[in-house]
Amino acid sequence: MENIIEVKNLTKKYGSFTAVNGISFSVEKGEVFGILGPNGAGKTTTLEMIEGLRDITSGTISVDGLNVKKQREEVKKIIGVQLQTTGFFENLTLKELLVMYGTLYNMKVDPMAILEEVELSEKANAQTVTLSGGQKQRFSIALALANDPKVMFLDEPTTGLDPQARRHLWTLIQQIQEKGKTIVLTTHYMEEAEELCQRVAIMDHGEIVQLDTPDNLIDALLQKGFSKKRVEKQANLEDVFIDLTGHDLREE
Amino acid sequence: MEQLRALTIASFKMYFRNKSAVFFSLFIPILIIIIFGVLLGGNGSKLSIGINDQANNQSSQNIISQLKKIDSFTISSGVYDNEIKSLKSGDRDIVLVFPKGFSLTPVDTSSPSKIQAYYDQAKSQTAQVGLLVLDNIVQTINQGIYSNISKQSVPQYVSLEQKGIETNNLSGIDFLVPGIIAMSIMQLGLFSVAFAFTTMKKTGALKRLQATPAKPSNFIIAQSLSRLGISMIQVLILIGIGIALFKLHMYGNIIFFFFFILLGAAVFLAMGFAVAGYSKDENQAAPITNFIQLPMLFLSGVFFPRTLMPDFLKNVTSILPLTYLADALRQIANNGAGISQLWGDFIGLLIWAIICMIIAVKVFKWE
Repeated sequence: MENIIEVKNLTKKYGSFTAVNGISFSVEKGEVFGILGPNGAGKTTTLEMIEGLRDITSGTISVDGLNVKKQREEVKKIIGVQLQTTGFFENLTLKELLVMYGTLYNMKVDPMAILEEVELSEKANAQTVTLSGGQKQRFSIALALANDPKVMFLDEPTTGLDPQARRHLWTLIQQIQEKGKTIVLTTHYMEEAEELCQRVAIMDHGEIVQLDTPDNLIDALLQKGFSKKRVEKQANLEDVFIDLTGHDLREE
Repeated sequence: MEQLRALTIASFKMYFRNKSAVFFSLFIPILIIIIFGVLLGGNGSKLSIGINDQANNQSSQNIISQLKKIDSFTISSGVYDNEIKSLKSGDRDIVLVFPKGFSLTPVDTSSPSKIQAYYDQAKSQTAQVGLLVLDNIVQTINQGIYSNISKQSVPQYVSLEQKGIETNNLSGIDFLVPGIIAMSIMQLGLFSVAFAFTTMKKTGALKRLQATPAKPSNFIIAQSLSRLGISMIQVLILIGIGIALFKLHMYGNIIFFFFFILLGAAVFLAMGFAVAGYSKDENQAAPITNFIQLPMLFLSGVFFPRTLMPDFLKNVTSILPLTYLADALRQIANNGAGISQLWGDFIGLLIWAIICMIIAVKVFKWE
């Protein structure tokens, strides 16, 4: 598999504090790559350095053959970004915002097609303040799709969403992957990583502790003789919740 | 270019759909003009008498002290040119000039001592009342001088020479509206930019913008252009209301007037960007904007003339950007001033614009 992102010895220091400490990894073209880790592990800092939003203290990043340090603007053209805080310009409709973001890339966008893709067609002429949490996240993905990017970065896309909205977003992310885009996402939810990611990097204290497929990571843990204290049942409480309340979104 | 156009249009939409911003920046100034316009309409105020005492002797002082005792007169004095200028700009109703050598002691009865009374022809009704009172005083003085002569044949040793002069026929509203326009320019620049940008900062919208390859300067330019456009619309509305409802005068060149509007808007936009760029959120921006704009509202001659201030305050407040703007707009509208009379205001505003832009660039933070 061809690598679309190469990160080598990436370090970010704020004064004497090291937020990211010499990490190296690569992301394969077309995969969903997860970065997991507790708060403050350095996930967002790593992502924002790749996106060209933060200066790199040392190390190199290349995205689709472009050097992020030297070709920041070029990199920004081929990536789609969803930030952790989904801030939209106020008082504009979804359609207007998509067109405006298109012009930021000097591109003519078809706002209705993108809204269709994220199932927000009926909200085309609404303003973002009227959107529910799940709809906001989907619209923020829509904006990230405005420039038809090769790689998408989603920073905690499902944090704060109810189980239905989360599953809905999973489907959306899988659909985007099927269209050939590479996706890098961060999350706190392990079942999300298991469901979506082909490979995950687990970060802690600015370092990558493990990097592998979810299956391999679990097998490796079991081989060390780990066993859960409580025998896992075939279903968990979330399955019960979904069974009782259905897959249907409640937000619309 | 296409990007700038699209961003400017988007910025217009963002502004006009924000109902509270439109209300505060447009309707408040309109409201002030209407309220003051109605209040100033009633003409029950005192007569303002300006005195130019070239004689400056006991005789003239004697009469002036008598005038000061009259309740319905407000007496002020100054040099000839200033007093006549004040009369022309509507600050005085009558200007009295005591010529050199004015005397109440008859030296030569064939040449009477004349007091010249200049009044505003256009407001002759108001002035006439004052002139009547003054004439009465003069008669009393004459009687005092010739106390031994019978009333019917008192010689007119002291006389009141009435001189109607053409003025710009200005009223209180002519003073007020240019000030209110200057105020609205300040508020549009400071408030709307400071709050819009800190909100964008807080929500992360500005950061998201940086994740695109667009130049951030384009966004700033677009926001500025839209606000300059909004300023123009606002000023047109305010002038329109002044003319339609309160007989506002516009003696100067309207294009020149708008030139100063643009220059003033540039100063206050830059100031707004400096505050917005420095503040983390609106809780920080609000006290800073108020700290800047509240003192200026009261010290820059927006609501009342700065001539009423004590000298030291007058000097300090003369360099405020709002003072330059309000003065220039007023000079153009009231007296038809051209650039030759307004170099001081022009250069003052230009310096402020440069200072504010430099500060804005230095302190601007995107997050």
